[in-house]
Amino acid sequence: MKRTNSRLIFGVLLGACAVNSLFLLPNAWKAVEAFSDTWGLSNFQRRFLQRGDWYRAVLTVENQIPRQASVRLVSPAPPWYLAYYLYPRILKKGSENLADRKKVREQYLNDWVLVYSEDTPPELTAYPPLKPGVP
Amino acid sequence: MAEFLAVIYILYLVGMGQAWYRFLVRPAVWRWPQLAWSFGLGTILWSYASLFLNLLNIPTNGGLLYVWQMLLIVIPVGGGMLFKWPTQIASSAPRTIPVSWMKPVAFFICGVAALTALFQALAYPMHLWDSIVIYGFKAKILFQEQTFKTDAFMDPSVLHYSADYPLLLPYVEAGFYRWLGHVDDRVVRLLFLVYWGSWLGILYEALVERLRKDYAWILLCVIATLPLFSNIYMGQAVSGFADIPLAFYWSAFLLCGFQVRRDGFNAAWVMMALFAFGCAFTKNEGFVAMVLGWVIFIAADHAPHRRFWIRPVSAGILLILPWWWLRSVLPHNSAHYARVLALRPAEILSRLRIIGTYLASEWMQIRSWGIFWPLIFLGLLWPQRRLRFPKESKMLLAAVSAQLGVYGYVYLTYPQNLEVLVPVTLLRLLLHTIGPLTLAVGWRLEE
Repeated sequence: MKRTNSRLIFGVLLGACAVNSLFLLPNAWKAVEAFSDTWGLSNFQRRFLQRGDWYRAVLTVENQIPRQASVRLVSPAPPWYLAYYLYPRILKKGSENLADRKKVREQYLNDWVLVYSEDTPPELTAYPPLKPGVP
Repeated sequence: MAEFLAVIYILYLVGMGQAWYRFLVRPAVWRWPQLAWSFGLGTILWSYASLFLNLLNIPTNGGLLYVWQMLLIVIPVGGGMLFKWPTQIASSAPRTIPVSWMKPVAFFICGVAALTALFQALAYPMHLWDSIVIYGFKAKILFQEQTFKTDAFMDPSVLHYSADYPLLLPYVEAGFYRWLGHVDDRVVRLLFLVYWGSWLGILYEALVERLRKDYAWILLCVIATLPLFSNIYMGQAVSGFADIPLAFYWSAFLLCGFQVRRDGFNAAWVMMALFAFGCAFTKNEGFVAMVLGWVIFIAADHAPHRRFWIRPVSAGILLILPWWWLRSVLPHNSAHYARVLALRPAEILSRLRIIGTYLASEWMQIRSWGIFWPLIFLGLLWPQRRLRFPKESKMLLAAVSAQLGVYGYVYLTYPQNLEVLVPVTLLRLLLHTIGPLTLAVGWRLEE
């Protein structure tokens, strides 16, 4: 069997590394910059830098609704990250219709009701339970 | 402090995995890629133990957690002292070919890639869909409640996307949060850095066992520097997605399979069963890959040798059964895989065209893949009279083809807009094939 020249193989693989480096090096530089820019910040502050206002909205809700609370969500298009960030508040399905907020509150007397809408005007309102502790 | 505790936790996982590795494999010599295997075993065993404790309602609160974690080290150490099994014969003689300048260059290149991932991990918390909605959310619940037996998992009215997704990563992340005492979705990304490094480690070992060291190093550099691992997207080394952990377990599973094929009952078949469980418990795609892997290994072996597969396959099934039972209990989305029967031929053709177009376009994405795909095609098509095509390479190719076939089938039957799904998932699905394809092509360079 006639072997393929090892220099050719080596050259091709080194070429692939060189092409990869065109993308790796700028990414490496950006990573160093991001690391130095965020040095000493808390995770909250890093999320502000990362995502901006939407995380402010999450914090607003966090400050209103107590931990471990059960929350019914009234929202036509609930943001996918809410359940993650609000935990240990348990987010449950309420309604997709913003007009149902009163109905949902009356239906789930123990639960908080969170209304979220990105339509104009945007809305983020947390309603406390009507009768906390009543089964 | 969190970073320090993350390192301690990783050392615990590696240490525990090393104890099991020495117990199961009984290696004659110590080589650094064993650390990579150990990390894989450590994560699998810790997640399995957590699942087992939860299923049996055994508490893990307070100091009990550390008792169970210590037990996971005591069992293999004690077992190793009680059962004096013969050590394995060293699988390959040390290489005599000088490595010259390639080793330091490779260290430098891989070092830049690793530092990039490290800085990315420590700069910002996880923030993409799968990393927080699928795995991060589960990890938070498991950390808070110490069990999946809670409304957040069981109540279908809770907004919990894909509550029946595999739990390996959430258990490993929750284990770190327990050590830390609180959730830190930034520092937890270090775990993914180790996953990525471990995956590269076992690929290097598999390459260097057959190739000249300089070939193995340069191939490792090509893989480590692939742009998708440093881009801030879903394929990133520290994205927090389960794709790199799955790529690691899947590659490890295949490598264990080749050992069973070579050594029969003398191979570490328990390790193969554990990595099979690792695949199935990391992503749903992992279960499919594992089944395809078994079928290909058994089909490719001679009839008298097929009995060697009874042990690993049985052990793998036994390990996976509890998870499959649990998966059937958790709220889940309805499967759509039988839907293809209702599709009209014209619709199937139209969907195949979409899949083909995106696939071809992804292969040419130099910003994600560099020239990885042209290299793979070149390596596969290179004439056999110039480069041998070993049977193991053909088996790996069969595994990847079957895997892609299944992914294609899932796309074909997806009930919603395919043009939305394919662009956000294709890169990650192709990522699972990097390991087997690199080995399939790399092993052709064996002299």
